[in-house]
Amino acid sequence: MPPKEQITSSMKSDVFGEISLKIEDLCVDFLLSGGDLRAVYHLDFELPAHKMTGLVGESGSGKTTLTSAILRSVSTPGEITQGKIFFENQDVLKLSDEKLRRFRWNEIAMVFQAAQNSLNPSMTIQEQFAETIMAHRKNISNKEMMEISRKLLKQVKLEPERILRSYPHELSGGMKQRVMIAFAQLLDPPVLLLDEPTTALDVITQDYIFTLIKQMHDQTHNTMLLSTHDIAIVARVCDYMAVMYGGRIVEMGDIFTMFESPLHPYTQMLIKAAPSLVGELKERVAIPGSAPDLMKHHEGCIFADRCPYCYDRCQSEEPKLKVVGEEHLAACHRADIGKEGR
Amino acid sequence: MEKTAPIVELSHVEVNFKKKAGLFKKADYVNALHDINLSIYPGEVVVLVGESGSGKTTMANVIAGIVQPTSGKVFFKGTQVPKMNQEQREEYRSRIQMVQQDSYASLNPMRRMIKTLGDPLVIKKYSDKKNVEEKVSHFLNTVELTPPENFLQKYPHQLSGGQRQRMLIARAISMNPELLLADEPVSMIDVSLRVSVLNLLAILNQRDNIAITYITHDLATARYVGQNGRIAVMYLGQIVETGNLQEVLSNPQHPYLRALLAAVPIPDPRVARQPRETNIKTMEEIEEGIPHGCRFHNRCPYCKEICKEKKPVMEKHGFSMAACHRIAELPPFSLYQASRKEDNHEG
Amino acid sequence: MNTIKSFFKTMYQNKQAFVGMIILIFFILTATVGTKVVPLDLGTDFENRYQMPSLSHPLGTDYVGNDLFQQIVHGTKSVLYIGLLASLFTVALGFFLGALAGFAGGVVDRIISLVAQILISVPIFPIQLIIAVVFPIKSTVMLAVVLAILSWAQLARNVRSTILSLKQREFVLVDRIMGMPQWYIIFKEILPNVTSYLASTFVLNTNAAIASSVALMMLGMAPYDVTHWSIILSNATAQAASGMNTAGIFNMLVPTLAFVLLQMSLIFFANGLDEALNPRLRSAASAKKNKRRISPNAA
Repeated sequence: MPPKEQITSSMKSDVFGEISLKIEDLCVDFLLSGGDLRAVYHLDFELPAHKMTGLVGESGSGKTTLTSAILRSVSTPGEITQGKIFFENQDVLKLSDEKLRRFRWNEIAMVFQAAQNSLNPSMTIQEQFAETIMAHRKNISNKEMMEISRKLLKQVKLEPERILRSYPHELSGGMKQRVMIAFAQLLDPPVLLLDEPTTALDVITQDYIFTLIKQMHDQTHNTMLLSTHDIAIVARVCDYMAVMYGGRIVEMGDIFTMFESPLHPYTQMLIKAAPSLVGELKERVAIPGSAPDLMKHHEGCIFADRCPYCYDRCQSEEPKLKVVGEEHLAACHRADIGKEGR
Repeated sequence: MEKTAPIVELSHVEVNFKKKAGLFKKADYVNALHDINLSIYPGEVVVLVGESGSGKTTMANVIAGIVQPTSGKVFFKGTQVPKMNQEQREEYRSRIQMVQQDSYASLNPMRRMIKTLGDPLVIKKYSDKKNVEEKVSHFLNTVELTPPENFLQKYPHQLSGGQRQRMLIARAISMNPELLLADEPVSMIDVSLRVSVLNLLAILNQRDNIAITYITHDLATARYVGQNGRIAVMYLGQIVETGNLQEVLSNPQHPYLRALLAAVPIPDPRVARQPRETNIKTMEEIEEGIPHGCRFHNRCPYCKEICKEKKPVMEKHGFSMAACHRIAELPPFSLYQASRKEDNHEG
Repeated sequence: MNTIKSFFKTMYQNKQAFVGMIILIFFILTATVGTKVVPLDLGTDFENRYQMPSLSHPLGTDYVGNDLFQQIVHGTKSVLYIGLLASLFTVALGFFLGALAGFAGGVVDRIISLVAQILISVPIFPIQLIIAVVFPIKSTVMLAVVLAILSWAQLARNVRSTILSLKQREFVLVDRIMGMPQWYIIFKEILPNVTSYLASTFVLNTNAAIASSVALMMLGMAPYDVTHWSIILSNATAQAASGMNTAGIFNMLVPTLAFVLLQMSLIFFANGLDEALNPRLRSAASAKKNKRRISPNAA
């Protein structure tokens, strides 16, 4: 198979050049007894091809819902109520069941948190790999299957023989996470979604796993979307960063631009709130206020009541995600005026 | 400065846990702590750094008195723990409190917050039944869970992670402790919310003179609680480096601490993308069990013959006390090469 | 108390459980109020045998001409009485032994677990039968005891393992660090976590107890109560063999359906109980129930 960079995606964006995914006006709602919770609110998003994009947001921002929506696996009582998700010019939301089945894992795969029970505890790793490969590649021989499994495990620096024989509970958290990464690559998908891949792992193991992920990305040039609440990880490995708040993307751009000249006040505060080994202690400031209640409808900007720069237009008119610089989008009225808060 | 007596003192503490004996196997032991010497003084902050398997939680349990050392001595305010009378033992129980990592597991899912926080106050006679709501509200205010009325009737699953963590802190301080053991208190909360909880701990330390032992594997958070405190780095049950926190972090001596520092992600792309000194092996690539000689030798990039045979002792190096044979020959450590905005960056 | 209010609210939301609860209440009312209101006339009246349901005989008559409706109503009392009593003994015994094993540990635990293990592996009914033969059962209470004496094992085991795992939980550890007394840990922390299991097991056990009692009665091993549904059923079955008329079959159907209805209501109710008593499941339950669609243009 040719390296991914030669497989050009057929979709292009004015802002990011070649893109792998284009999401338009996506809404995901949770139907609860107290009302409806809109976890993803009229979201537009373009995922740059062959790059690593970090999707940053706190718990409740909707980022996990968004990544599940891409695979059409939002957990009940959530439902995708409108919008389009384009992959290779096809709307994923309109795929037939059979096409969807082939789409999942072949075109887009997800690396779940190791802490989650995504591995079947009653099957060995080898059996699980085999099941997945055979479900999609009916004519593959046993030998080929083992080769693929071994190669992928070696890629994540795991000893194939030992791992393939093991059951999930026999592996440590770090090893399970690496197995998940190998598992996601089984069918060589061009797009990989990673959902908080290093939560609950020690810092040295976390560092190791990201080194591996970066190495793999440098080799395969696939497209990655890394969803996390840890902005420091994104700084280390991602080329682009998108910030999510209240079910909306509030800012997105090239990684250096986002850290050097973030325009959205929430992005600025997120960066300031992350504990860091370097820099002045006093610079770290918590974000005042609390997360928005997504059961209610909000007039104007979703961030207005926590924003230090809020003015009357922010209360009444919702800002749209607009181009504010080269490879830089922001949804903020102040960005229109061209102010840069620092 | 006059020497005040430590609240807790651990002397040559050793903790071994029995592994379950099989039908044909003899019972085997796992060493969790080895030769621990540590004193915690009133009002001070000690940051205990270690990854999983380092023994840090066992250490916390020994300090709190729920695990007895296999050998060695534990002193509470000068009295050795096993030799305490009933009154001293009750005092010991009250003056040291713990806040754990998993706020969900640390709260009874079937009980409302007013019960979980209020009943202990009544039983220990810190409050009578009539004023218990008022007292609990006072502590909720202290941990910034305001207005308290909104939280009293809630069940744990109705609170956010950060709110639950604050509940744990409220419960701990309601016992009027002299020492608060915080075991990874922010690991399960979003990064953006950690600073405010850490600041809360720092305030409790500075304002109310509560000593804090902050246990973590994430050095980035260490500074927020332990600015003026001490640090002790643990590896496989031993303390490998200690000293004043700021000094030790700017001049780390032990290879393990250097590796830890290099692995901490930094929220700045220019700094974060510099190649760093993390060529140590992960825990899974080495054999199980405790190595001979220096316990870190099979992961250490600087390992030499002497490291495999002889156990290093704690000696003064730079600002720290550290246990390593090769410190003098290690290359200089630099966390980052470029951190100022004027410097060029790649890309 | 808000706990009671939210209990009923959750039961209402689980439609199945709510229906179960209503039917159960209906049966209880029948057994208590009904028996006082509805007369019981057991004189034989051969001319009126095997009548189909009519105004004077809402459920028809049986093979001796007695009104079935009256018998069913009065039978409810003994059916429920035995079932609930037996279940109560089972739960009490199982809980006590399970908790003892869990909290005391050591030798006590090992003995109790061993006995429980044996009881679980052995088929209970034959033993109940043997006991009934050796110690003839003369009263309903004794029947309940016999039923309970062998059924406590599974419950005890579950209670024990729940307690063992709870003892390790962090919130119990914190209690120890705070120096809370042992009774507080047992009664205030651990027990509330076991209650919902006990409640739903109690209800389900009633089912099992009724089934066993029916079997024992039909074999003649337990005290004979003419209005007990199983007696109605066994007599009707014996008679039905001789005649093939539809009323005879109806005679068998009525008590059978009464059993089915009662058992279903117990099962549905038990399902809802678990949700209603556990605060975490309460909120999850209310989240699942509402399936309204919202329009694409809603804000």
